[in-house]
Amino acid sequence: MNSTLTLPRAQSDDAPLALQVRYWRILEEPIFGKILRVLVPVSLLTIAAALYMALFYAPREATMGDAQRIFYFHVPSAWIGFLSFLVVFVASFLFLVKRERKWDALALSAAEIGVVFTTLVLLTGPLWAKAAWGTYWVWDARLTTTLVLWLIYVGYLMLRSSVDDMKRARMAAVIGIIGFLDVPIIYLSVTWWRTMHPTLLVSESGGLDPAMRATLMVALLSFTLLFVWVLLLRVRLEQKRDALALRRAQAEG
Amino acid sequence: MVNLIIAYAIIAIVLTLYVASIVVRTRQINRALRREQ
Repeated sequence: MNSTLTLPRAQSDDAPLALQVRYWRILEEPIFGKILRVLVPVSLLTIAAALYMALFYAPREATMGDAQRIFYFHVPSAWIGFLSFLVVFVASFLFLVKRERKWDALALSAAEIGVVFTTLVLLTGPLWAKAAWGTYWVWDARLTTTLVLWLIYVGYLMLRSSVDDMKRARMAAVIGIIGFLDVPIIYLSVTWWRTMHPTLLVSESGGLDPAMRATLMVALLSFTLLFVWVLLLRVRLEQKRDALALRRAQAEG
Repeated sequence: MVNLIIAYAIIAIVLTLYVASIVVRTRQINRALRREQ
């Protein structure tokens, strides 16, 4: 699996990426399995703690009521979306420079996770908006740029869903890098344009309540741990997929 | 309150299905790898 096989045709644009399988050595070590096994209960426990805090510990927000509690998992979903696309950006850049399949596999895995979490942002946001604004969707700068980000990386995954070859992987890497430029635009959209999207929550006592802040921090930590676990699982899936493709290629001679 | 329940349910269902899909895909490939040995 940790093969250093370098077939001449693997260097051509049409070569299957699986012919260049060289992953990080730690994926083969027993410690990797242990890390995965530890991450499962740790991330599940922190998610349970965040859920408890979001429902019972954090105070009821003054104007939005219980619907505001969506925020405790909406914001971490957005954070993981951004973090995933940062990983796509860095891994795509390294893939273009080094032409090593492992960076492409990392970018593909992170892009898939980023799309899942950005989908959650786009589903939970409107549920909050309906309670707060009276409408599910407005073509606000932050909402629109987030939708654009989602569409860019759905396009990335569609490009990757067909045959994996070097040319397609390079094109996807370029999309992965350019697409990330939308992330700082989303982040700064609330200051660049007049938007309806909130930037600060007000509790009944005024200002961001310490209990709300603590709940948000625990939720952010729980989703970050979940992200690490899912990313490792997803990269391992790519590694195994490559190992299978390589074995079949070798069997065919 | 209904919107809150729906939002949390969506997050739980989507994340569970996604992780399950990774586990199932990995198991399928593991089986194929064992067959090809």
